[in-house]
This record gives sequence, C-alpha cells and structure tokens, in this order.
Amino acid sequence: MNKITMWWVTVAFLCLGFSGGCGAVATKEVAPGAPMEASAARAPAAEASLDDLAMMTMDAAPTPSLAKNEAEGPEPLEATLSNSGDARLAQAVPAGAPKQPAATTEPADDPSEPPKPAPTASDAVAGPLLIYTANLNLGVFETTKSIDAVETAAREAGGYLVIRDEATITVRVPSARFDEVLKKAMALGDVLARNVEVRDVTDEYYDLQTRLRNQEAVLERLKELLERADTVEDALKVEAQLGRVAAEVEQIKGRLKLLRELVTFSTIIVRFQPTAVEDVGGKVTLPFPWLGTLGLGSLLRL
Amino acid sequence: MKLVRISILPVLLTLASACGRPFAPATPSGFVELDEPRSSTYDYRATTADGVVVSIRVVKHRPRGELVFWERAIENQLRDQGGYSLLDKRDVQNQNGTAGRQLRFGHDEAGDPHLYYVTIFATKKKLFIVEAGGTKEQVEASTAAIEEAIRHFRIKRCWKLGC
Repeated sequence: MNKITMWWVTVAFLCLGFSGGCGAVATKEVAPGAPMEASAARAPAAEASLDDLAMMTMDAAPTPSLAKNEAEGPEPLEATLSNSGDARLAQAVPAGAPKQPAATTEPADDPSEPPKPAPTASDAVAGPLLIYTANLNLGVFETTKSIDAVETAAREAGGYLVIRDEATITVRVPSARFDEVLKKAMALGDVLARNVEVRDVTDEYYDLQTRLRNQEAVLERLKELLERADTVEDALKVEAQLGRVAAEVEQIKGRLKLLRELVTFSTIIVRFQPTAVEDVGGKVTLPFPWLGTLGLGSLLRL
Repeated sequence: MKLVRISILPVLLTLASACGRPFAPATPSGFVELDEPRSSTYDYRATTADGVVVSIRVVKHRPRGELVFWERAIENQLRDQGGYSLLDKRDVQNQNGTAGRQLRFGHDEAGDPHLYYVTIFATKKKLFIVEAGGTKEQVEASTAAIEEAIRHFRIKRCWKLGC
C-alpha cells in the first residue's frame, strides 16, 4: 500500500474514530495514569492493517493498570479536585476512602490532568459534585444596609461579589461556607421566599474528563504525524486537524474549569422585592377589596 | 299612648345618629385630625407635622372570620404582594378591652426605610383596622403616641337595627 495513503488513513482514523467514540467504552478503557500510547489499544482492528499505527502501538498492550481500571470504573475525582483546594470536592470521597498523599501535597498545574497515583478500588466510589444556588426574596426594608451586609458576609467567608444593584445582590462563596453565609443572609430580614437549587454535575464532569484524555491522545498522535510529514501539503493537512482537536481540548478544559469553579463556589442571590406570583405557584388573593388598599402609599397620601 | 310615641322618637333618632362613626378615636398628642372626604378609604386620619399618620377604617365583618384569619390575610397581602418585611407581631387591647393583633412592618419607600403598623380588632359585625406609618425615624419617635392612641381607641356600641 502506498505510504502516503496509509498515512492519511491513519490521520483519518485518529480524527474520526477517536474523537467520535469517547462514550462509555472509552471511559472504561482508558487508564487515568497510563501512558498516552495505551489509549491506542482501543482500535485493535486498525492495528493489523496500518503499519504506522502498529508501530506507534507496539507497547500498547493492555497493562495491569489498564485491566484494573476496566474493573474499577471511572477515575476518582478526589485527587484531581482536592488539588484545587476545594473542601467540598475533597469531601465527595467517603470518609473511609484512603487518601493519596502524593496527589494532595503537590498541586497540579492543570487540575484536569489525570492524577499521578494509580487509582485503588476504594477510590472508585466518589461522591457527587454538586452546584448549589440559593435564591432569597427578602422584604423591602433597609435594602442598602442589608445588601452591604450580604456583601460583607460573603467577603468574610472568602467569597466575592458578582453583581449588585439597588434591589439585588449576587455573591459567590466557598461551598464549604455556603450554609453559614445563607443563614446570615436570611437573618438580615423577613424571608418572603427561599429556593435552594442543587445540580449534580458528576456525570458531566467524568464525561468531559474522558473526552479530554481522548482528545489529548489524538493531539499527541497528530503531533507525531506532523513531525514525520514528508510534504508541505501533508503537514498543512495535519496542522488543520491539529487546530481542530486543540480547539476542542481547550473548550473541554474551559468547561471543566467552569464546573470546578461552580462546585467550589456556591451562588447566593438575594432580592429585595415582593415575591412574583409566578415564582411561588399562585398565591391566594382574597376577595376583600380593603386588603388591597392597605399600605403606606395610601396611608401617607394626605 | 301618643305621648309615649312622641317621647320615644327623639331617643331613637339620637341612637341612630350616634352610629355615624362606630368608634371614638383618641387623637394622640402631637397629631391633628384631618377631615376625610366621604369617598375616602379611611374613617379617620391624623398626622404629625413630620408626616407620621394614624388612621382608622371600618369594614363589614363579612364573611365572618376569627381574628387570626384576618391577621394572616393582612400578613400575606403585605408580605407577598407588597414586599413588606414583617418585623413583629403583638397582642393589643383597646379601651373597651377588645383584644386585637398588631403587625409591624418595614418597607423602603423611595430608598428610605419606613415603618408601618397595622392593628386589627374584630367585633361580630365590623372589623376595625388601625394603621400607623411614616419614616422609620419619625415612627420610632412617635411609637409611644401611637400605642397610646390604640389603647384609648374605643369601639362604640351601636343600637341601630342592622348596625
């Protein structure tokens, strides 16, 4: 077979086969700590017919760590996420699970990278990654003072201000201190309505991590192919693919970073305004007209 | 017989006319009573020079409900619809010894904190709603006068048929 044709078949295989097939199968097969070459073992049929790929995957036979990971399921998040210093993420692993000292003492530059230590059976059970968002509606009284107090409470807890105006404030606080700040905010006035939303992003996080590993493996191979490109035309074609895969890697990294941020910091939104009827599912309106005329507006109009 | 009829007539007329305002307000010191037009929502209003206003309105107690029902209705109306902040609730009593409930609210008007007290008394036929409000600073300064006005507020007995 013509060498250039073979070469292009390899590129096509890597780009289409790997980037498209990053579902549950990939999740099971890729060992988090395994070398990049190992992931090429996911295409045994192609190995036989492609010289280049065969050459690249010579040392890609299933290793003990790979086989072990197949049985254990996805990699645990503890090591990766505890590196970011997030208490809630660290708590996601059951208390009885043994810690990985190497992973927690050396902060990783890129938290999305697989942890160095090999996963253990106990690590396979990881807790959920939860995004907390609280919405509070407080009575409209001493609004400015209360908004200042919410901001102060958030800053004291290690959080930060997202946005504030005359009647609303949004702050983000470390998830470990979410309850504490929420209680402080609720104590500032009459709570007309409260809504705490919790979103579980564990599945999405695992999927993204797997896709990231796959795409990074494709990227490495494309780089290798680029180095071995014989003609400018070939090099340009590989570079085009490299650009596409690199963009996808960045996109995944960005999403992972956002998820980590959202899990690490919980959002508290405090509004000083009447509860909208549609928000609370229809409040009772009693048929007594005089009730509707209560209020300062009417009383103070002399 | 004719003499008896003639002597009863002025008594009945007096009783009927006495039912014009079924309460006797106690305008507190520092307040002046305002003339309310017939179309006014209020049966009585008084104000200080600084704009703290006390009012009384009377509505038919129909359908009949317990005091706790009306208390809750006022609370829901002001909190949910008006965004008022409920600050306190307390038991009160007027000069007749009628028990009532007072709800104290806070609300910002044009950015300034205001206080608004609503007190409700329920009799068999009527509901008496006593309101007081103004800027937080002024109402706090007039709280004693407002409480005095509620304590001395008297519900009149009405002998008129259907009253």
